Amino acid sequence: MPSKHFISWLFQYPVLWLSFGLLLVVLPVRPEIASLANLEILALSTAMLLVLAIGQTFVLITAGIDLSLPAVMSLASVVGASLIGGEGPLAGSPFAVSGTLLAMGLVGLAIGTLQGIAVGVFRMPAFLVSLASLMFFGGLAVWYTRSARIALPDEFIQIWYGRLAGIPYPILLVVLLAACAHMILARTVIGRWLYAVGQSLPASFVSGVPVQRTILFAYMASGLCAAIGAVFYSARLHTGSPQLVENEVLLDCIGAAVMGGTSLFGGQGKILGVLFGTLFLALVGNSLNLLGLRYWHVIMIKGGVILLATLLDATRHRMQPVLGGLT
Amino acid sequence: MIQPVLEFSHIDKAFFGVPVLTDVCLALAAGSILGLVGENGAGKSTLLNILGGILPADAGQLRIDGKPFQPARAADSSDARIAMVHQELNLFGNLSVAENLSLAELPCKRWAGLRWVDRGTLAARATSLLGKVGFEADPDTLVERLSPGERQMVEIAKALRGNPRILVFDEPTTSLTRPEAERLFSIIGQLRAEGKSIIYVSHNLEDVLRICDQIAVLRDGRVQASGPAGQFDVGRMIHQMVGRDLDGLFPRHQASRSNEVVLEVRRLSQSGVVNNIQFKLHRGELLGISGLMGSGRTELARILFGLDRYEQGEIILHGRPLPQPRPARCIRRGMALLTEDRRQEGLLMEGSVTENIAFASLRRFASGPFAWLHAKRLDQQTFELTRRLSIDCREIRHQPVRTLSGGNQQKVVLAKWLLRGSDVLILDEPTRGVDVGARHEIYVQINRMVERGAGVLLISSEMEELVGLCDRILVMARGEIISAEERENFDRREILQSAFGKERLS
Amino acid sequence: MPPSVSSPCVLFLALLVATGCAEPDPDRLKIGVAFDTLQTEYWVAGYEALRADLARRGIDMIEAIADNDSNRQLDQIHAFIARQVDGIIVAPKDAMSVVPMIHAANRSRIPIVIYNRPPSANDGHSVTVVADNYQIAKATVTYMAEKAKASGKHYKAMILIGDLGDINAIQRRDGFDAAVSEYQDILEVVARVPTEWSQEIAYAGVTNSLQIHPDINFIFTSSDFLFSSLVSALKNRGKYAKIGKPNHVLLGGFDGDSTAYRMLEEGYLDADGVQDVYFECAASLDAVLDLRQGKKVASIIQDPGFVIHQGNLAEKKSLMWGSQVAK
Repeated sequence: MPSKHFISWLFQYPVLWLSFGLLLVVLPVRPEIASLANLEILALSTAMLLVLAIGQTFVLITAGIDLSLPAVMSLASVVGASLIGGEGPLAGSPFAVSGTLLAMGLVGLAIGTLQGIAVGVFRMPAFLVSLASLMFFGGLAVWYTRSARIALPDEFIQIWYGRLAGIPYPILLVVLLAACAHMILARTVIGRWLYAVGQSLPASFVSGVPVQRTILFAYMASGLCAAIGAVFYSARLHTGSPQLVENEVLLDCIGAAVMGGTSLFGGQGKILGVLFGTLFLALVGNSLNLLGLRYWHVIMIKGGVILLATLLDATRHRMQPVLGGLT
Repeated sequence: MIQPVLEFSHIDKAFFGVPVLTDVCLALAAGSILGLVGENGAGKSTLLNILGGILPADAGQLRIDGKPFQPARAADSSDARIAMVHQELNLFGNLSVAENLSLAELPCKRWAGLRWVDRGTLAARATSLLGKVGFEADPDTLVERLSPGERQMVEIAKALRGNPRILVFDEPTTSLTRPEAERLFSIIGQLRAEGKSIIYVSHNLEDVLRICDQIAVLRDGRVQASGPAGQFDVGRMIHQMVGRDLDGLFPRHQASRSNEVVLEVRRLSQSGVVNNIQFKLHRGELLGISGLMGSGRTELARILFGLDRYEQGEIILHGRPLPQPRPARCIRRGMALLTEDRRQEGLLMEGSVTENIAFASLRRFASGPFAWLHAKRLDQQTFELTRRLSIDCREIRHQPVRTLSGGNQQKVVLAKWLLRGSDVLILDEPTRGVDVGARHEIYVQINRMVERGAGVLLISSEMEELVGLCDRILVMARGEIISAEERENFDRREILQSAFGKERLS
Repeated sequence: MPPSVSSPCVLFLALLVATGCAEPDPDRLKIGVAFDTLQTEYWVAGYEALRADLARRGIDMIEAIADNDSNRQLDQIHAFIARQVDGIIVAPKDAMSVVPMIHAANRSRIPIVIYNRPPSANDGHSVTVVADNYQIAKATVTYMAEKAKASGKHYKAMILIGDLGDINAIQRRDGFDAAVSEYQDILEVVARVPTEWSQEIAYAGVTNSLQIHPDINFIFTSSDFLFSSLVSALKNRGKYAKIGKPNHVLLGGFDGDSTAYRMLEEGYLDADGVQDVYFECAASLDAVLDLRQGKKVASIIQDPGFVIHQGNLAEKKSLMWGSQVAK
C-alpha cells in the first residue's frame, strides 16, 4: 500500500505542512517569492544552513550538543583566508584552493576531535565543553587575525558562485553531503551506533558498542560540517572573517534539526527531516525579508517557532513513560 | 454477609477500543487481605489506577461502604483514605526520611513573614509514622542511604500518613530480601489486625497464598476465579492465570555437560565485594548462582563482564586469559551479560524490536571500508529470531520495546545475544518482573542455548527456579562461594540455610 | 508538529503578514535601504535623513537592518533584488562583505550606492559616498596639536582606534598619525586603544591605558559615539575637566554627533571632525537616481566635512548634524 505509506510518511514531518502553509500565506502578498530567482536564493540559504544542521544532528542524535559551531566556522575561515588570501603562503599556487580546503577541514576535525574526546572519553558535559570551545576558539580566531578581515581570491569564491549545468556548486555539494550523511546514519554500523548511544549509553556500553569512538565520530562530523559551512559562508562573503557568523546561527541549526524531528534527548533524527526543518527556517527568513519586516521581528518569530517545536519534543518525551505505564 | 468496605461492580475499561477490563466484580471485606494475581497485562494495574483516580472507568461502579465512589483525581482517592504502596518507589533519594514522609504538607511556622520548615514537628511526625511500621531509623537519614527493604518501610509509613482505611500493595517484595519480605508480611498482618483492608498484588504466588484471606485471579481483564485463599493452591492459580496447564514449570534441558571449560575464574577478589571466587563453567552446563541480595552475585557478574573492577585473580575465557575485561572485548570473545536492570542496561527502550536485537551484532552484518550494513540479511535474521522466541508485539520495526511486557522485553534481550552467537551467557535475574507464562518460554530458550553448547551462568533469587533448571548451584554469601551442590544432591532447605546461615554467623 | 500546533503558527504568521505589509503603490519608485546597524546616533541620523529625503521626493523606502551580521545583510540585498527595487543604498559592516552585494546588484542591473563605508577593490560597479576621513581626522588632530603647542607643555597622546575591518577607521587612524608626526617634539603617542567599535572594549582599554599612563593629556577618539565610555573612564580618574582647568585633557572626536555638540557647548571638547550627513544622504540619493537614468556618476563622491572647534562653534554649529539631533 504505497499510498497509505506515503500519507503516514507525510504526517511524520508536519514542518513540511507548515512550510506549505507559510508559502501559501506569503504568496498572494509577495508573489515574487515564487520567482525563479528567489527560489534559487531560498535553495542556497537552505543549503548553507543544512550543512551546519547536518553536523549538529549527528551530535544531537548521541544526546549531545555542539555549541562551538560559530567559533569553529570563524577559525576555519580565518585560517583558510590567511593561507590563500593576500600575501598568504598558498596564494597563487596551483594547490591554493585544495590546500586551503584541506586546512579548513583539518581545523574543523581537530576541534571536533578535542570535543569528542572531552565528551566521549572524559564524560564531560557536552553543553559545557562546547560552550567553552565557543569562547576559546572564537577568541583564538580574533587573536589570529587581530580582528582584521581577509579578502578571498576569485578561485576560492567560485566554490560558492560557480555553476555546473546551471546549478550552483553549493547546492550540488550539499545534496551530495546530505546523501552521504543519510547513508551513514541509515546504512552503516557507525550510524546505528549513534542512535544506540543516544538512546541509552549504559545499554550501548553493556552491548559492546564502542561508545567512546561513536561519540568522537559525532563531534568530528560536526566539526567537519562546520568547516564546510565556513567554506561556503566565507566564499559567499568573499571574506575570511573572525566573526563569520553570529551565534544566532546556532539556534537556526539546532532549531532546524528539532523541527525536523530530531530529539534533543538523543536517539532520534533523520536527515530528511532536518532538510525539511532547514527549508522551513530558510523560508521564514526569506519571506520575512521579502515582507520587509525588521530583523527583530524575524528573530522573534523564528525563536517562537523553535520554542514551540522544542516544547513539542519535550512533551512527547515526557509523555512516553506515562503512556507506557497505562497499558 | 457483612457490608464490604470496597466494591468493584461490573467495571469495564478499554484503551483505543481494546478492552482491558471486562465486567470486573470484586469485594474487599473490612479487616481482610485480598490477593490480586494475574499475568502482566491481565489488567491489575488498570484496576488499581481506576481505584486511585488516575483513570476513569468506562462503565460500572466503585462503592465504598455501599456508597458510590467516583474518583476523578488522585486527591479524591486519598480523601477517601485509600493509600497506595507502589512497586517502583516514589521516594526522593536526596531528601531525608522525615522530609519524604511529610513532603506533601511540610509543617511550617511563620517567622519574619516567611514560612520556615518546622523541623521539630517534622521529626516527631516521622518518628511516629515509622513507629507504626516498626522501623527504627534516624528521621534525618537520607533515603539514598537506605537499603531497598528499608525504603519500602518508609514508603509504607508514608502511605499510613493519612490514616488510610484501604491500603494497596503493588508488588511490594520485588526488591526485598527474604527477611525483609518476612518483616513486611508481619507489618501487613498487624495492619489487618488494626482493621485496615488491604489489596495485595504480587507475582509471588506462594506469598499470596500465605498472607491473603481472599484471592482473585485476573486473566485478560476478567475475573477468572475468586474466593477464600483456602480454595487455592499454586497450581490452580497458575492454571487460571495462564489458561492452560504448564507441563512442569521448570523444563529440564537435554544437553550433557562436556569436559570443555568455557569460563574459568581463579581466586577473583575485590575488597568489600567478592572474595576468592573460583569456579569452572563447562560447555553445555547450566550453572546457578544462589544467594541473597547483597551476597555479591550481581557484582561478580559485573566484574566478569568488565563493568566493574577487580583487584586480584584471573578470568579465563575459552582457555585464554582475559586480563582486562571490557564489555566490547568480552562480547567479541563470546561472552554475554543479561543484566539485572534491563530497562537501563539491557534495552534501548525507545528502540524497536529489530533495533534492539541487532545493535550488539552490527559488525557481523557489515562489510567494506565504510562498514556498510547488509540490511536484508540483518532483517531476515532478526525477524527469524522474533519468531523463534515468539516475541509478542504488534510490529517489529517501529513499536518501541518500552511498550512490550516484561517477558517479551527479556526475550528481546535474549534474542540480542542469540544473534551475536554468544556461547558464555551470564543471566542475572532473567525472570524478574516476568509473569508465569512468559517465564516458561524464557526457561525453554535458556535450555535451548545450553543444548546448543553454550555455558550458562544463571543468577537468581528464586530457589525454585535454580533447583528446577540448573545442573549445579553455587551458593554465595558475603562475597564468597560457600557451597557448591550437584543436581543429584539439591536440597532447597540446605541451600537456603547455607545462604542465610552465613549471614547470621557474621 | 501536529496540526493543533502548526495551524496557530500559520495563523499567527498570516496575521503578521496582513498587518505588516500593505502593498505600496506599484507606480512609485522603490529604493531599498540596508543599514548594517542603528546602534549609534550617526547611523540613526543618516537613516532618518534618508527616510525624510525619500519621502520628500515621493519615493518608497524599503528598509532592512542587519544588526552587525554581513550574512544577514547579503540576504536582505537578495530580498531587495527579488522585490525588484529601483535602487539600493547600503551601509555595510566592512569593506569586503559588501563586494558580493555589489555583484548581486550588478547582475540584476539595479544601481547600488555604498553609504559611508567604501568597498575594497573589486570589479563591480557601484558609487560610494564617503566622508574624507583621512583629511577630516588630520585637520581635527592638527587643530588639537596647535593648541597643545601654544600651551608650551609636553603632551602624552592616546587614540581610540575603530574596527580595523572598517576602512574608515583605518583612515581616521592614518589621519591622526599623519597629524601627530608633524608635532613629534611636543607630542608622544603612548596608547593606541583598539575598540572594534564596541563601548565595552573601549571602556576597558581606556581604563587600562590611563592606569599605565596616568599622565595622558591628549585624546582623540575615532568616533564620537565612544565618548560615553571615554568620558566615564576619564571621570573615574578625575581627568574630565573643562577647557582651561589644569587637569583638562585635550579632547578631539570624529562624526559630529549630539554628545560632541553638547561637550563643545559646555566647553569640555576641543575639536570635532564633522561628517556632513545631510550632504551624504542627498548625494547618495542623487547618485542612485542618476544611475537609474543611465547618467554617469563619479565612482566616489567625497564629503569634505569640516572641523568644528571652540573658535568656530557659533558660526558652524548649524551645519553640525549633532546640533539638529540635540534640539
